[in-house]
Amino acid sequence: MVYMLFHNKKSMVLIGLILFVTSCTNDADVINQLCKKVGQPSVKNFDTLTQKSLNQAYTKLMNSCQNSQVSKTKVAYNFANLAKLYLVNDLNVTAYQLFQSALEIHPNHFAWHYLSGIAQERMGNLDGAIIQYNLAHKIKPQNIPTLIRIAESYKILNNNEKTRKTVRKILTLDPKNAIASLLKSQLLIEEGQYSEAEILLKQLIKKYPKANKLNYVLANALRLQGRTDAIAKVVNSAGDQALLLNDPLLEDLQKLVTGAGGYLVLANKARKSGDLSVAKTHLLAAIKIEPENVSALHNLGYISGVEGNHKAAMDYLKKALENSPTNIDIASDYATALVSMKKYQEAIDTYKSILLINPNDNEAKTRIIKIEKFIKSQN
Amino acid sequence: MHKTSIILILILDLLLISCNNSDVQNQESGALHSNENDSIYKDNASQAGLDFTYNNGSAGDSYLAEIVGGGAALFDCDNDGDLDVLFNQGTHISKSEIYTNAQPVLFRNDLTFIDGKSVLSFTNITKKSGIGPGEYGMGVAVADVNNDGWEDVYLTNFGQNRLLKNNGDCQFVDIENQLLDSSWSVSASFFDGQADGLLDLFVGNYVNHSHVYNKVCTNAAGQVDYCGPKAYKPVPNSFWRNLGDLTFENISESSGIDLEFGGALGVIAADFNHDNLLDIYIANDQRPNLLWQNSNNNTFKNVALINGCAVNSSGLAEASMGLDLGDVDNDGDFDLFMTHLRKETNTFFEMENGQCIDNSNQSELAAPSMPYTGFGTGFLDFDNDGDLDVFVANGDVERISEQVQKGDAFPLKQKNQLFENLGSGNFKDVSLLAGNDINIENVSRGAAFGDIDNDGDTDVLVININDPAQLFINTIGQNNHWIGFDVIDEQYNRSAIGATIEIVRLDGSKRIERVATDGSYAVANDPRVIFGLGKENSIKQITVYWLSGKPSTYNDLSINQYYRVTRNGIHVISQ
Repeated sequence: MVYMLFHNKKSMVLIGLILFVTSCTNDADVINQLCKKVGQPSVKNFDTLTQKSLNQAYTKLMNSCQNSQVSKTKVAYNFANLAKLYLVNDLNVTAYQLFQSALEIHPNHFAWHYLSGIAQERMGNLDGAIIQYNLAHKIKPQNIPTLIRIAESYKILNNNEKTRKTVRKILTLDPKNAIASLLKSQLLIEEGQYSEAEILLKQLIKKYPKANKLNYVLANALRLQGRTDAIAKVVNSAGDQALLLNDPLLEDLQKLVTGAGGYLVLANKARKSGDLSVAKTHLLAAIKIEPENVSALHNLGYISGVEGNHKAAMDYLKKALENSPTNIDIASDYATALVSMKKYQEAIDTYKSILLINPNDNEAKTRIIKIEKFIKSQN
Repeated sequence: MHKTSIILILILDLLLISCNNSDVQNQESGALHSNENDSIYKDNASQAGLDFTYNNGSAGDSYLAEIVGGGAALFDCDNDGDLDVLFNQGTHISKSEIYTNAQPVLFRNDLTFIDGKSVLSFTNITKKSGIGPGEYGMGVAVADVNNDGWEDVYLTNFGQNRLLKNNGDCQFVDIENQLLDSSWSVSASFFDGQADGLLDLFVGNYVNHSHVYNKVCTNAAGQVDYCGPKAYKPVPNSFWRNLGDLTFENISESSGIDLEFGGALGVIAADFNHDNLLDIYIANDQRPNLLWQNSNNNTFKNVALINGCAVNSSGLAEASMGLDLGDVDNDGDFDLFMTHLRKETNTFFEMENGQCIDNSNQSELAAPSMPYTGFGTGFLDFDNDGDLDVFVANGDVERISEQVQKGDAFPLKQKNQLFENLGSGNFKDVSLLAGNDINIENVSRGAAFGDIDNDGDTDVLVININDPAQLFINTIGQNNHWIGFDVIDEQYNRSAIGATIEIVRLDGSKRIERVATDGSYAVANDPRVIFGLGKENSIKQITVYWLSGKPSTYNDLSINQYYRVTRNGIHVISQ
């Protein structure tokens, strides 16, 4: 009977048709069920921009759910886009559920598994995160950030064997990967292989001389060898940023933040990594959205000062100070810009205004004395 | 009936049975957690009349100080043998005015025993106590500063700190012009740094944020949120030498203490390097921690980095908040536990000869802490089985979106956690078994530990911001044996702070405990020491190592009672 069915062309077409229709009906049912589970975003307590973007993404998803002309892939992407917005707003449970819905319709999507892992990690479920990261890893076996997240999660879960295996994979793909090398050195220290760890860490420090983290771990390795030279060099905490996971997926996600805050986060990260021009681009994007954003203006002033553009620094800081007149940090930077522009009396006045806010500000007191001395010497 | 139908019915039956089974299982686990009798801890604050809410005075300006406070002291202010409670209190913050109306609240413990069972009852005696209002309150430190037999109080504030002398019977008077530290302080520790029999004071100071100096910060989602500590500059800690007669000299500079600082939140004084001198460990927020080693000439040296105690094994300076010391592995030295931010992990340093070894992951205390921001914490043997467990009071500092979504006015709430020491160097999160009360989400800060109902096990007082304080009464410690000590040093510092008690059990194993009130976060703990003994009905020996002089050793002690220990002898304290 089976033989006859498969050897009859008409029967084969009929079976194919039945399978296709069944599959379509099943897909439609699945999508329908998944769409029904999605609730209207309850975001009345968030700022208007967040409310707007979440509501728009939700409406788009619902419209695609109800429109049979829209492809299932498109619906899945709409699920994922809404999930991303939830994730960027730290609403991780809903984000995870939405990513899983997207994956149910359109399986094997690298980014959705990866971001599901991040949602799980933020919820504190490292085992769940590892499952998602591993699924992402299967799709893109050479993706380093995924492997790093797997290794770090295993490390916290005290599964050193799997951490070691994952670190080995990373170093095969990218032999100079700093985070994996740091993890490897930690494993070596835990195994008592201090001198191997020392060699590895010294190589890393050559590459990242400003990273405190590396100096601290090296000090640990030396100390455990009973070495009295185990004193960490405190360099610059900004240097540690170089050892943070460069995660393009998360950075793209951050750009979904429609307010200035997202750009400020990106600018801060860039500034700490020493990339001032990237920081400036993000800050300019921030003040385009919120022209009076104090933090953006302050940082733009600071960067302009560092770049030697004291006029721009002065202008940005003046505006920042107008919007936050009691902020001593801004006032202090503004006074520095004024000194650079040789506007000494205005600088003294600004330092005096700082003393009105905080009479114990020794820095302001010292600066006034120095400037007054300088003016006298010029006269 | 057709064969296929029979098979289908069977499959359906099996599915139904399996579904029903899972329901039963769920119901069972729910019943276990909801049944009051199965709780390890039960909140008895309201029933006992301990009604207090730490009010952060928030008016929407997101001052950093609003999310830092809430401490209290468990101490016996009337010397009647039970622990009274003093809460520090917050108030409003505004740019234009310094509010001095933060009223600390003192409750007297009127503990009684009926049919052998303790019955707790608290009476608010603030008015009678003479404790007036002050600036925005943070924490409390306690010690008998003038060795007169009455416990005195130091209130740390976001503003001017205060020293309150106990004139006896919980009657307090402000000692003006002493210990005038107007930096923002959170935790402080009384200890005898000079080994001269007088308790000096270390004050942990935080950052240079003030009522007029507030910044606006945003979170990753671009929404206005509380700033982190790095938005402000840290300020130096202060160290005060006790000159006797309730006078103190500021020796922060000459002692070297003010050379390094990083925004102190937790403070603990103990002998880390076994040289009979008390050192100080400082938990800093997002900056490397400090370990000031006492050089015995009124000077201290920071050895945190070279001893591996400044950062975790990844070289990361985490946001350290609360901390405690305890002999977790019963090897005769203290190990260190610290609480940290959400997305970081809490740190467990096993200590050997003053060196810190980061065993956070190995102990399994790290991973379960990732979703929480920990503040108050302490080692305690909640089941009196002879090893130290861990309690953590949690509450976030960055707004939790899920709670913002629900319209929560103060969306930083998290549940507390209890970890059981499995005896193998590993801990297990037993919070769900600990009862519903500790799983209620609050913005918890200080957690003070002590035997508040004098029944031989450790209870926990948790201070919550903008929600009632909780008094977690231990309901299972009594299932095992215990022995407790109240140590008094009549020749030296009367509170005997800094003394160490070593107990030798029947199998020869040893454990040590400090006589101390510091640790945790912004609190003063019960100075008495309890050792859980499991099912053992006697101990071999105890030894008290005083800060100076010959140790005192005692044998043949009966169990399940408290002893008063002095240099001259030991006797049972009757309840």
